Amino acid sequence: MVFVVPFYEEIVGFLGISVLLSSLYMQGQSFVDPTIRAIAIQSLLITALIVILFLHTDDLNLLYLAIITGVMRGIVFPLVMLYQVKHFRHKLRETGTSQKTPSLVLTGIIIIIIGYAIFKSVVLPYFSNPEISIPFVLLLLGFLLIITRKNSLTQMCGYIQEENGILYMGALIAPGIQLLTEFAVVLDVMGVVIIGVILSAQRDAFKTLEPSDLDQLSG
Amino acid sequence: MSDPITLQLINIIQIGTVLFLSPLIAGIINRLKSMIESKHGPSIFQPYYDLSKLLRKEVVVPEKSSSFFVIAPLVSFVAYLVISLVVPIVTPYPLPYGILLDLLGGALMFGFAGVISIIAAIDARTNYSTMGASRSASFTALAEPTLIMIFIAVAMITGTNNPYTTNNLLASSASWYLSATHILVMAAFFMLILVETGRLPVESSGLVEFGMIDDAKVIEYSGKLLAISRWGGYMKQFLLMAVFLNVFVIPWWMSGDVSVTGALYSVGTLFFKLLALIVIIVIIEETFAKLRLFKILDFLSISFSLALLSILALFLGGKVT
Repeated sequence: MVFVVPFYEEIVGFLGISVLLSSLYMQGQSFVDPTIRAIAIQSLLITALIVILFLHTDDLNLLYLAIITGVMRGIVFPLVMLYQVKHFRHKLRETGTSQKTPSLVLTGIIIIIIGYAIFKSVVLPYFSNPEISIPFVLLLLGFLLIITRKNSLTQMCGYIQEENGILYMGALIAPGIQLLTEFAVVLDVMGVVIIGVILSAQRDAFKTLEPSDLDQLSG
Repeated sequence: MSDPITLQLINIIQIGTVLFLSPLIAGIINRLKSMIESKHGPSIFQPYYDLSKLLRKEVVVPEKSSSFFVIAPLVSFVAYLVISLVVPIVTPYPLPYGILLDLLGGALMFGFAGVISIIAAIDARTNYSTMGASRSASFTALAEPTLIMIFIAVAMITGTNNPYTTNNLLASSASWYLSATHILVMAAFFMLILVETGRLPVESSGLVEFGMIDDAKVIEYSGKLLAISRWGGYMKQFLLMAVFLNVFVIPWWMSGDVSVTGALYSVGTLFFKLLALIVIIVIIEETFAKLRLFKILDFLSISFSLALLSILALFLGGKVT
């Protein structure tokens, strides 16, 4: 049974842009907990996108993928990260950046423009689907989030965002092997959570979450 | 059917709608706000009473100001009248003077009226109105690029800057109406309306407010000049809301028939569309706290980002390559 999704292209386009918007929202936050909630919302948006793709193509792999993504990245990982933040509530503020965060939103938009230009000249000739530009740009925005922040949890959010981008790209380029992608990605994010455990040890010992303070561990 | 006399009559209906319905809209907003605050509130016709009272009062002009101070409200008023000739308010087809200005021209005309009022506020030569002028200038300097971005996005959708073409395309094509570009344009335009009409997350209206922007500019006006400048403000609010509704959000339910009855029908539907928008705006006003003055820049930068992203969405979605 193939279910015809009404306004399929418009819905996919809008969800894609909403994913980018959630990413820009994360660039503009100076506190950590809204960033974590935004990454949860972004993951759920990508879940919705994959469900739409499943309804459109009737490929069961996509449904499994959607369930795994929604549960792991939409619910479990953000909860783990919010648990880390709990002790720092209202205090865990991004202080490492010298810029103001609204200017980072505009930087993010410049990154989107540059990313699209690179995508158009490098990637588009090989994959004729122009919608792949959104995950490509998402990847770059994840990098931006990582390099502009000094807080480990925000950097983890950037990392998860990159994984989201890879997954999104995989679902668009190669319907059928996304499960493989997803297992690889889940393992990666597992790694991140293990780092998170180390971080919680760091938090208890040094009352800070900035990676540069890990220097104190050296003998 | 489309004889020149009918078209001119429709033109008169359009201008009359803008002139005489705009105070009513302001009155309904005030009444609704009072009702939500569990007060009785003023009558919805209060702006008309205010205007007629002010029009009967004498004008007091600051001693040091030049004649520009007197002319400025009239110039702004006429600028809004010109805009009301050229935007789709009662017809989905262009009226005889529709060729005067396109959407970008309309935006520049709004900018012109704004600049005139800022210069007049400086010309009043009091500290308070000059402060309002400087605030207004620094915020519109960020609001205008957003407006221009919105119109560039619209121009990329339709290939023209004509508001009537945009209206027809959005009314007839569901795929453009639901596209990410259009949705982002609507969001950015809505934020801009809140800024331009001085609504609450940005500015609270009233006379005893330290954070006021637009009201501070007219603080030295009195009598007939104050009436004209208030009326211009009502018209600006009405025009922005009507363009937002008729071009972007609800492009349907306008009578395409070139006749006086068709135009009157469109006035009726526009009134109900405006009521819906007013309810949303009043709910926002009653639930949001006022932003700190320097946070308004963040608000504007978000609306600018949305407008810019709406253009990028065209490329990212592959609609333009």
